[in-house]
Amino acid sequence: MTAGVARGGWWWSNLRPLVLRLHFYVGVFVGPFVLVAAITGLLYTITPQLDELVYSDALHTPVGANRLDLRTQVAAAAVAVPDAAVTQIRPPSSEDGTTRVSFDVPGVAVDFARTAFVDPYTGQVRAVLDTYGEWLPVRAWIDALHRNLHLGDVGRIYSELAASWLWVLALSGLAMWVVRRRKRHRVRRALLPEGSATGRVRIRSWHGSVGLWAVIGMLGLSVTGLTWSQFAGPNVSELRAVLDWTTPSISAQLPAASTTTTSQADPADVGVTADIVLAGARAAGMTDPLAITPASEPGEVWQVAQVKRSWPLMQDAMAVDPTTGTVLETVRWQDWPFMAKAAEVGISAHMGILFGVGNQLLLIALALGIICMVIWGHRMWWLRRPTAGGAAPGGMQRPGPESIAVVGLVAIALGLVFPVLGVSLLLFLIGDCLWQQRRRQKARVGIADLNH
Amino acid sequence: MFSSIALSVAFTVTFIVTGGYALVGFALLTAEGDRGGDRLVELSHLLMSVAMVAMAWGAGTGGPARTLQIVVFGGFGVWFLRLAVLGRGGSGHGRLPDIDHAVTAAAMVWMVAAMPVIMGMSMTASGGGAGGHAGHGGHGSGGAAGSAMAGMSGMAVPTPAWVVGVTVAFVALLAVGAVFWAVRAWRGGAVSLPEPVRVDDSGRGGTAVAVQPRTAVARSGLAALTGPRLDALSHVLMSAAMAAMLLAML
Repeated sequence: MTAGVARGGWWWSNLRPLVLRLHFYVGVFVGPFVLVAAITGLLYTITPQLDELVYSDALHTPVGANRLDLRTQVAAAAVAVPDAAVTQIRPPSSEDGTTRVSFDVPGVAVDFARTAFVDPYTGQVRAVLDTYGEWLPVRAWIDALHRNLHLGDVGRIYSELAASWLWVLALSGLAMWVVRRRKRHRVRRALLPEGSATGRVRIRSWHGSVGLWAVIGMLGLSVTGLTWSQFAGPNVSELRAVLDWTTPSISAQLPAASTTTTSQADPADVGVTADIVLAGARAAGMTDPLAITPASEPGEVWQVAQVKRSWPLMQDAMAVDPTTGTVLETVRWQDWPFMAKAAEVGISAHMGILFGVGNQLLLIALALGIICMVIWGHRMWWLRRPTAGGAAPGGMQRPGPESIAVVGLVAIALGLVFPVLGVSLLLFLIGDCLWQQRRRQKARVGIADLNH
Repeated sequence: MFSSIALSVAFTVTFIVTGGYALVGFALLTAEGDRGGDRLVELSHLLMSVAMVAMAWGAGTGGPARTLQIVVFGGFGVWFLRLAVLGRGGSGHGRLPDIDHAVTAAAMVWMVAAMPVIMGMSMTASGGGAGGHAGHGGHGSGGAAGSAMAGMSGMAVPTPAWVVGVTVAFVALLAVGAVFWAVRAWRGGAVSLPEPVRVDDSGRGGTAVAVQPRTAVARSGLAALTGPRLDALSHVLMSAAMAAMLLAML
């Protein structure tokens, strides 16, 4: 029996066998990583509710008559977290909210800060927690689980692998599902599973129809996930810099004429300066929710920035002279480049914080859909495995060399931008080449034995 | 990487040609079930060409990219050396290409590993993959500006004599390889390989094997772009250009 060859000159018949094989092999090998990312991501979607459940005392306080000034609140926080430098102050954004004062404490995990949650009415410190940026410990733990399985930088490879290939799976699956031979009831069969089918055909109909509904979500998760990945992330940042799509930032340095003598070492001084800076920012129009970041070195500005990441996003930022409270520079969210805004919105959507419970429910549905698709996909493979009498994916039809060459060229370009995709593809190709060589070698030995 | 932009452009064009040829060869072998060729050889040619283009512009010379190249090309070198020693089951002439491939892979490893020393430059710390943090406000600015593709800079240091010696040795070996392939191209480029065997991969109970006799097949499409003589010429180009780049680095 001779090998089947891609039929005709029509580009799809040349390309489809390759797309099918690509979808199959990526699904089999990368599917488990996608599954883990979907499960951990599913857990992440409920972190806002978990925060409220676990940290209610830290986040909320009885409403009082008058709020204390930041000087008093920071001093109270410094008593709870002694001998540490203040790194950020977040006044409450609601009447019953607490003030967060974060400190850089030796011995706290990398990228974490020790944060005191202060009652703004009484100055009582309600809790001291180690926070990862604005994330509280439970969310930070789940965040790390999703990002790197708590395995550090090595673990980040798993999530980058999933993000790098998820869009390939989505697009290849979309292509095969939408472009099918049978024309009868095509739209209905594409959108809904076939209730009357059985066995593998039934599973495939569920896999394909759910995939079609989820494709936009998968593409979005993939693209946004790659922006903060370990290896592709810097390449994306470079691309954004070249295209002038970067997030505008505030100049850190004070003008030479500034005569600030603010000491950063004493939290009491920091608290006094924080009041000056906040007053200056509010006078210039800065609104809640906001965070105040003290200068890390003498001669630097203090920054006051909005921190609202839900729709409508509020990300205005101001550079303030700590001595006079004068606003030296303002970067408005409305003036960000479109792609920088799109990236910020996309990331908030990925984290489920863009539009509240609706966003969370959408992500839950997407995660469950991805989990089901991976399981169905592996079930189909299991039913069609070679030892069960099944054929190779695509059967005897081989991809055309032209499609392989074109896809290969695209893969090289993508592999350079997305290194984990490139390296994993390379490892697969080397393994495939060696495997095929071994099979041919065994077959050659078999022929030699037969001839004797 | 080089003070002359023209040199970088020349290397780029050369290795785009060799890489393109390798990609076509790889595609043909994949489509035809690996008959009449070695996909691993074509893959190594392709990767080498991509790496050389990057190197011509000083990219991929530091950090994880550098380590990856050393590991990959080192692996190729070991594999081809193994084939050269154990043979592929063909005639003795079949070992010479594998010896050449092993030498070329070793030269590639040397080029990547020793580049800073060869060029008399000290390496600066290259950016790692920082990415951004979702937990911090201002993630939109995320990602360090430096990347794993950082080049070299810093103070000039003299190149040790032994490094020069090893580099010149590789230049000589690559030159010999170029001559070998040039002779082969002159003679028509025929390579003695084991009889092609296609393995039935339908998976239906056991492995049925068919031996396909070599027959003259009308070459069309991408196949028309390849042939034994062109294979040999591609090898000439690759060996000569690698030797030239090593010399240019000194």
